Amino acid sequence: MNNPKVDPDLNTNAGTQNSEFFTVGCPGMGCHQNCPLQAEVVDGAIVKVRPQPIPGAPEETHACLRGIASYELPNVKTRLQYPKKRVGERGSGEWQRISWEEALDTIAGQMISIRDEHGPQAIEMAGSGSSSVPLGGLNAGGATQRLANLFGCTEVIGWPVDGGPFVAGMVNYGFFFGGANDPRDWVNAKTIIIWGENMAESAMRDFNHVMQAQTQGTQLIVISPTFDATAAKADWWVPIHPATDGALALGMLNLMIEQGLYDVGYTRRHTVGPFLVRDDNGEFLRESDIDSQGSAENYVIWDELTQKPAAMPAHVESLADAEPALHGQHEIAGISCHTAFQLLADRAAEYSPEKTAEICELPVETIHKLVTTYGSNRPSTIKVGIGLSRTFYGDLNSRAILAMAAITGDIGMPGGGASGWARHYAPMLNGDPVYAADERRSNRLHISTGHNAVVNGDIRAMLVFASNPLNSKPNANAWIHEVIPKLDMLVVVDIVDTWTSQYADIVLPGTTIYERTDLYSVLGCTVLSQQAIEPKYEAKSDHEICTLLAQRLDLGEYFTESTDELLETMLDHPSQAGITLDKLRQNNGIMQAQAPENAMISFADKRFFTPSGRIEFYAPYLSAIGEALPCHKEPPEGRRSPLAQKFPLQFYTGRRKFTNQSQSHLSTTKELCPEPLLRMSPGDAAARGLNEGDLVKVFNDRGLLKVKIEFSNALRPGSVWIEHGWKPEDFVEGHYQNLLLPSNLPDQGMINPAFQIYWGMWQEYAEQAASPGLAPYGLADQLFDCQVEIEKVQ
Amino acid sequence: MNASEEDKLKKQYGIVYDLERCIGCQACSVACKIENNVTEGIAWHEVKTVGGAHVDTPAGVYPNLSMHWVPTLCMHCKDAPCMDVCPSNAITRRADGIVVLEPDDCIGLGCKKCTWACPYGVIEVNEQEGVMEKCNLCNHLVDEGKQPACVDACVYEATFFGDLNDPQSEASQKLKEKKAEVQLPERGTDPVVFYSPK
Repeated sequence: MNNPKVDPDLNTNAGTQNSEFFTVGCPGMGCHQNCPLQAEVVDGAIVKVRPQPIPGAPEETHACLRGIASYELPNVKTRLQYPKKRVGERGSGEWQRISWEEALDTIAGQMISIRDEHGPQAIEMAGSGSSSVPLGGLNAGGATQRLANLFGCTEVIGWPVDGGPFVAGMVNYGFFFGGANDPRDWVNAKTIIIWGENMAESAMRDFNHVMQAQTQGTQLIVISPTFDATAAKADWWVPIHPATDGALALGMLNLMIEQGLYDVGYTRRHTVGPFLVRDDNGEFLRESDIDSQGSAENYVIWDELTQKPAAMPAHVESLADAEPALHGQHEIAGISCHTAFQLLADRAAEYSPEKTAEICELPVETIHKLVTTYGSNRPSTIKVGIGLSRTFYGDLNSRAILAMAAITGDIGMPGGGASGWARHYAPMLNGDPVYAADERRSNRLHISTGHNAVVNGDIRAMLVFASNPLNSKPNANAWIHEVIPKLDMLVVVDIVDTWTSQYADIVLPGTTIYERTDLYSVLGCTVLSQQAIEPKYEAKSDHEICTLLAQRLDLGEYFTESTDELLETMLDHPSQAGITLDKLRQNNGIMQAQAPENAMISFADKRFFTPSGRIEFYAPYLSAIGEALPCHKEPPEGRRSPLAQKFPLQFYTGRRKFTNQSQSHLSTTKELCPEPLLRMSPGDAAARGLNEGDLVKVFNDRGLLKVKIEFSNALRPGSVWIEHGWKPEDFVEGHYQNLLLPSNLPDQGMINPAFQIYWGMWQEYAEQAASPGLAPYGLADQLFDCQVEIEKVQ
Repeated sequence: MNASEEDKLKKQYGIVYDLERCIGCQACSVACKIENNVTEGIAWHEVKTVGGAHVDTPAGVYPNLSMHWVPTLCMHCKDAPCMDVCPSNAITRRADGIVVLEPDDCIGLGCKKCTWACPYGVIEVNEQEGVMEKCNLCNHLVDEGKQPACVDACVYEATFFGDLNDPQSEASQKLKEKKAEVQLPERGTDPVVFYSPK
């Protein structure tokens, strides 16, 4: 019964006599759970992967099917074995094996000549992708950022896809990742809403906490257009029309204000609700506006006791002997103003239950019942799903949800919260050794502008580490035909051949997580991700590759420390409280760090990171584009857009447990899900004369995809779906990545004007941040608003 | 008979599934595959979707839908019809109740009687090796005092393994706590794999 899929020398039934165990950080494969795994090694081969017990949080001990199946990673059939260079046309598949020496000499030589002619910023360093442990490690963008920084390369900042909820976190809380509690706190919620996310398949460890809470009586509401595993586990599933989440939240907010289902005291003390906003320019009224001696920093409230305005400094909860008004319009020194709360209430009032029901295509009773459940059965936790970020106005939709949550008073409370991110305390690592080699800084480019920068000739070469832009960027056809041909050099470092590597000039074999040592933090612990086996074939780690390149770029002096020395320096951070490499090695590579008090509750002190120190559901910097307050806008591409005449079906992709990112190379999981199938509702198929199993062409003006169909009633009629993670070779023709709407068009720049405003603001934030890793997240490059038509392939 | 044999006699290993906690994640199927090095295309352990016609598709018409999952493996019946029909005694019951199919003793593709006799459809034909195969409840691990791989892989408190004759075992405790049923009780096979709620 030999398994033909992996190396025959792997004996998966190996006994434990000769076993050695190593703690390894799961690459996450896109789920961002990054569970510490325990690899069992016999005779130099990984025979089994199990969950590594978590000190201090045994209930978080976890490995999902992909984690378990990842034992196979070093031995996958498609593993890159040695450096190779292109000898035919780009994409021709004609390669020649070369030595590391030749590969590195060629790359360094090209880098130098491009730098001499166009400047170092003409070289783009992209990476820190899916074969890495979380950001912060040597090989997870650390070594590449160090090299990029020293050489003066351009670094791509931002995520391809994760936008809305993080933008909303930044606007409302001043922190991309704040506002929701440690998942272990979810049992304290009476109501949990998972809003636009298939958590049961895409964040499996977290979902365990949801089920724990349900067992203890918490009601789970899932708001999502698709009936997936998460919806199947819900006490109540709300089948919303896609991309109308903001309307639903505003409709709920309206009824909550009407019915008094909000916390007046909290809204006064911890939100911008009482701040006066100028009617003329949408800015907050400042003390200096009404008093020439007043401070331009101070806000102004209307005191109900004295019926007079009063100055309110930032980061102050209340004024002695004053009762800030939440409602009303006031004229002060000739300036007409409304309270921010009044503006929010007025905005919400535009979303009557009837209108909300119509936009969201839900029964009116659903809106009422949601308000009763969420507003009264508290504390309530909302996990804002990444699904909301995959739509054009994901930021507005998420902001509406966070605004609604803000007035309940549940943010910063046990059992409360509303955010796209909910995590344990993660002890900080010292980023110096990986990021800041000296004062020099690399040039930064937002991910969505990468396309233009190459086409314009600003970028001449790309070094892509553990990343697969073609499989993760919108409009892949444009990259293949317009972008890559303009490059003087494309280098790809990965563990397997990818869609992107097919078009590279030089491809280098990288190490898997099992073949290198690194450091990261997760679940309140510091984790030494240990090298479990020797690198297979000629694989080298990012750190090794960058060191060897640095030596050729006259930067060798910055790459002299050993891995251990660098990791020791990374542990030199106050939050590590004395954890050392030796101690980690003595403790199976994982140690619980000392968490600060209240680490479980995000913003337990209600000191938000915004300029006012309060929850800012009102964003004056967006008033110029009419988005100071959240509202509902129909995405440019959707079933209600003019384009739907031509392309009536809404196409989108989602995460599924088998192929979370592009991990379809794991044979064990591929056996469970062997080929991509487009799911569509039987009614939509019948209308096109399609039968189950038919090969169809999915197309729009950007591209096409040929794939077989499978019927599923889980799909909202009018929409079709396929799981993310497939590669071009898995399809008969084309790829879904060709169909998707990019957030940035070559001649227009970022097509959502709000994103341009955010990008401008947060570049500054990124410069100030302790680690450049804390870049302006949340400005998604890829949108899933995408209309298509489908016809049978004859 | 030595003491440990006697000890085994008193045992009856079984599994209890809490289907409320099963999310159909398939970690169990993957762990089984890897632990037992099961040939490609064959599954000793499957997670079946109770819903639409395909994996992870619901029953009903949008938006009135339902779906749940049922981990399916050898039921290790106390009255196993597969054992009765096997002409070569390749299927035996251990003293601890685990029903083991030994492929080396299987007479091969010309027989297949066990696959027809099993009402649960969990005996697989390995065309490549010319033998029948099924879940042997990872008895090699059980002998080391460990749990079967599928049980070990379940991190959702959906799977409870243990000696059903021991009232303190996790499986017995779960049976006491929750109403659980076996599959196809009318077939009189007396399975030791229980599902709650069915």
